[in-house]
Amino acid sequence: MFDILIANLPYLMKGTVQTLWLAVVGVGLGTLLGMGLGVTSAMIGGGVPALIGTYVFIIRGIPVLVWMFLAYYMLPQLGLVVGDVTAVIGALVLYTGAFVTEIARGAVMAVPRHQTEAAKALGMRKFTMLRLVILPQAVTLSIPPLLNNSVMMIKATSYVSVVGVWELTYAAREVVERTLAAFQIFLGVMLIYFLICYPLTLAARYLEKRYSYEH
Amino acid sequence: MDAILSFFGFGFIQSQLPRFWDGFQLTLAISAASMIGAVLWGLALVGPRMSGVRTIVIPIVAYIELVRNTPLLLQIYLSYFGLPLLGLPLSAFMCGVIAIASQHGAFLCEIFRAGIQSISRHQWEGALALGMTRRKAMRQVILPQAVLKVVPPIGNQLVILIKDTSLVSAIGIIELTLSGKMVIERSGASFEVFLFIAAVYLLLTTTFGVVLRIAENRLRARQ
Amino acid sequence: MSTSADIPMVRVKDVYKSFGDLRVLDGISFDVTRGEVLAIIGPSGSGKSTMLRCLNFLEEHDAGEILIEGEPLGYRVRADGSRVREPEAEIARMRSNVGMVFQSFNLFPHRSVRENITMAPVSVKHVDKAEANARAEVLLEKVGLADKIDEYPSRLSGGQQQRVAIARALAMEPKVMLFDEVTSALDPELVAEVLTVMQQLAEEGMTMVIVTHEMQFAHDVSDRLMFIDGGKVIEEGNPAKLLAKPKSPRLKEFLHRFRASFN
Repeated sequence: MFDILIANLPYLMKGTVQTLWLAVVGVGLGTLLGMGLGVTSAMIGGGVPALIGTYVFIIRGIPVLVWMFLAYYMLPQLGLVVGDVTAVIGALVLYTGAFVTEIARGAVMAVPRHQTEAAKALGMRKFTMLRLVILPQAVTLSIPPLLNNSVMMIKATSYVSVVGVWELTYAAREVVERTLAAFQIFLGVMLIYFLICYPLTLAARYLEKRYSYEH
Repeated sequence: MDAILSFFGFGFIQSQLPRFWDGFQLTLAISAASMIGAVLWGLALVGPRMSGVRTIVIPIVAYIELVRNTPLLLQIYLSYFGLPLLGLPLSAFMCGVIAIASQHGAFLCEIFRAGIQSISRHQWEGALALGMTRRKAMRQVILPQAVLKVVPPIGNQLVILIKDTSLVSAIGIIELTLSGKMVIERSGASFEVFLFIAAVYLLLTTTFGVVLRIAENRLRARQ
Repeated sequence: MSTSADIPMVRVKDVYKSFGDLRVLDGISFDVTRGEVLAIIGPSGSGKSTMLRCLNFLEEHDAGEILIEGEPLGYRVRADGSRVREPEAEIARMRSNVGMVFQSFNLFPHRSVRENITMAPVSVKHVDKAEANARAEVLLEKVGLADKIDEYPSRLSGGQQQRVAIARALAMEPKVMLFDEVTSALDPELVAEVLTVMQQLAEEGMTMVIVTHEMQFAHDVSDRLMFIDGGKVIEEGNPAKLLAKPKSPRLKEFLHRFRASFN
């Protein structure tokens, strides 16, 4: 019943590896970028938060697929990057970054004000306070939404196939076009994505619940 | 429109406007159809999801978890390549709408559920004590309050839905995104085309967000 | 079904109720006659609120029988002693005969005062809208809030909200009214306005069951006082006598502690 799926499993596994690689690099770098921007935006005054806010607003208002097309056509034309893969990873990083910026900023802002007041009363300088008081609390708060965001972006890595970059979903389409076994292959590949994403979703839910009990 | 275009110096884009206009209209149509489908599907799911009957709840939860944890693109492919195999002669447009409504309906169901659960037990008791049946209490007391609480998350979800309609370009529907790609590939235009497409999406999602916020404030002002 | 005066308005027969391993009602029995005002007192955790909530089937009793004017509430007990759960519509119908006022008001925040009061008569009893409206106006007049008819609950004080809640319950023309610690959530200066309305109701002959911490009020307004502890009726009788000369050690201790907390 699943003969075609099983026969093509090695090929699909190669695609899975490529998907995981895209996810780790794109979502990983994007998360780092977003955390930097988010904390900066929450801690620094002046025009910086507005600038970062504009970046978030523009990125989030436009489909990630459009960013991928834009990166795919624009970056090579500008001579900035070579290769389709690098271009779409750029789009993934920017997109992840925008969402993580909001999460990180929200988490820092959610640390109660009396915490910063207590730290100031103890004579801590801004950076010490950030390192010792705010970030440790903000990190706990932000892990569940970061995990959920990672799930969203792992799913979004499949969109690079529309631009023409080879990974799991692209491989699935190739197999279906060759074998016409749409149900077997697409359901099988959905299961692969599910096995990657669902543990992260469950972890996020568990941590969220544990956190809400502690408070 | 003209002012914006000449500001960027995109004379070429101006010449392609009819194509983009067709694509834009399709994006609107798919968004509207999928939104209606998703809201109805979410509402249809939430009752059984909260029924407490294991044989009903388990398959619904399984379905919701599956569509929430797999890419929408694959669900669109499954719908587009799979439904005809089941003997359903559906257009690409319908296949795309079904897949989008299915996934976003699952997300909306969970949003509705959270909203209903956020209404306190006291409200249930107040309604039941007045002699209302559970169905009446749900319709007259719980749902109207839940709706107000879930308007912001529903709004977020529908903005994501609008953006997700770009994915039906993968099954050959010439909506806004695919119209951009086709213009580039057929006429050798450069990347500015996608800057324009991006701007249109930004305008669309922002307008939708603003309209929702106004609607929300109107609703809230009544209380 | 006869409604002659010999049928008690409320009859509680050997009712048991547990939450998990904790037995909250332990074979409790009592009657409330027509027009009687029964006040129930007891320490927290004694089961008095659970008992009251059972009278509206918001809590379901595990065993025993509760009759409202002779009609079984929630469960029918068959001749062989087995119980059959009543259908939901029947439970709702029974509830519409029993008014309840809660500690936390439970007004519907998305509806105006008028709509809070007319909603159930119109949708449950199918009363004509104009008639329900007229009745709402009369009831609000009675609780002293005629000018608040088009306000939303969030704009009212706690005492005002509670008076609206009383009017809302009365709009269903119930045969008996239940009051579950209705002044506990109120600021002290707002308690009197709610008690005044309740006193007025009692004087008009409404059958009432009141769970309260207001000992003086219980003394003044009730025809009979009942002390519950451990899910059982420990002592009951004339309020003045019971408070002045408690017999059981548990009531003595309860009253002693209660008075101590006011000195």
